[in-house]
Amino acid sequence: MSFAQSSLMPSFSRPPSRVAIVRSHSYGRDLGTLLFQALQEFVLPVRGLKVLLKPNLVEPDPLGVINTHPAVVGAVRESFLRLGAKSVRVAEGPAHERDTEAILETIRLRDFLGPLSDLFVDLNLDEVHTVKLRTRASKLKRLYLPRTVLEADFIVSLPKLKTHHWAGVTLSLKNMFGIVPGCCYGWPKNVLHWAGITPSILDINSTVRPDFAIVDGIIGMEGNGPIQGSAKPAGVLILGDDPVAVDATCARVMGLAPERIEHLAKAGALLGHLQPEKIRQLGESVASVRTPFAVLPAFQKLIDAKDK
Amino acid sequence: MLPPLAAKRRRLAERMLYDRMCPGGGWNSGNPLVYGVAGVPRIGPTAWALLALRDHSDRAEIQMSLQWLAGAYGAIHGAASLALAYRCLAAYGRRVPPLALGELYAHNHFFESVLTIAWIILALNEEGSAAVQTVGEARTQ
Repeated sequence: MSFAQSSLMPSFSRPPSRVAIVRSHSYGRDLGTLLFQALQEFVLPVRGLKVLLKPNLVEPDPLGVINTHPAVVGAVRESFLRLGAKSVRVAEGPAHERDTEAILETIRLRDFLGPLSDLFVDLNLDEVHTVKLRTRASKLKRLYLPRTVLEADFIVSLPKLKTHHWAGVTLSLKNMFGIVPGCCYGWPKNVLHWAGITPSILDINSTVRPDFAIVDGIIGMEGNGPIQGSAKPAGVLILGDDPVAVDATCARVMGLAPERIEHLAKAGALLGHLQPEKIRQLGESVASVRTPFAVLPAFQKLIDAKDK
Repeated sequence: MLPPLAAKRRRLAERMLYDRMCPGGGWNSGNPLVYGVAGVPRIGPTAWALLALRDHSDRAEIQMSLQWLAGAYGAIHGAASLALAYRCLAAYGRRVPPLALGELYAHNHFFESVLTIAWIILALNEEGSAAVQTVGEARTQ
């Protein structure tokens, strides 16, 4: 793993981040073209690299609301191959379901990627190595990380645009819970929950910061997410070279104030940019695609004043 | 010979399983209710919990959970879940359709998972026994 962009850096010395908002109202055939064109804008240095895509695959869900849609995974993989990546593998360690194959088969991932036996890695069962944490937000001190993650040159967090009943939202930073293996951390990653969701999010992302993030917001989830919420069509893909800036932009699109979401507010200090003036916006504006998401009563405080 | 406290601990573990059961039967990762909304059971935890509680087969919770598992069986898409559900239903003497693993193996080779392969062997052992009558023809590999 390069860790090229994983170094912690105070926000004032970090260069501006870039985030693109792309409109897309369906998971149809034009998705590949849209994503490829959007990715070209970033001129990513991925030629010859081993790229790892980390979608959010949680439970068998044929309705396509809980998990990153397989059409998005397929289109992103195709785009990175066209950009010259040496290989593009897909990996996930689902938090709730031990039978990863059941999720893959339910969402028909192979219809979009082809045979999965050499392409997909179940991170819950991969060989693990210990890595010292770069921060001490939690008491974990070290992480057990799968070999597939450590060997990747370029990691792309590929979550779904969802609310979360413990964390407020689950986007590209929270999605990284899925890189640590269930065989060490349990299901649903109990060790991380006991260590605290916010501190664990910060420690994981400071140690394995995704190089890029692409959020599937074509159909998101509002209310009692990340599993039992309601489908919320937002018609957007949100992508960028800073996971904090991507998540902050997603929150604004959802009508939420990112600085009130605990893990985002803290991540904004060292892991990326939260403030709009530090985010170079490409594609659509936040205002033009703003789609307020319903939140549970416990998270009413997250709603941006403009939507109250 | 188990230590004297083992039986007490076992009863405590059984009580915990009943406490964590989803309201409609079956088990998931451990939260039967979140913000008052009933959790959705999962195949794996349900099968293991039912196997652990096999001595309690007369209890209403067990019958309700078995009913959920039998109803979910036809929609299982993963080899590991299929094998576990089969093993569990067979252990309760339920009639279950044969293991249809051929297509799954052809697509994914079960990702060479030791756990999955071991559970499938357990289920195949059960399928080969005379204790359970199965319907139709097995398409196992």
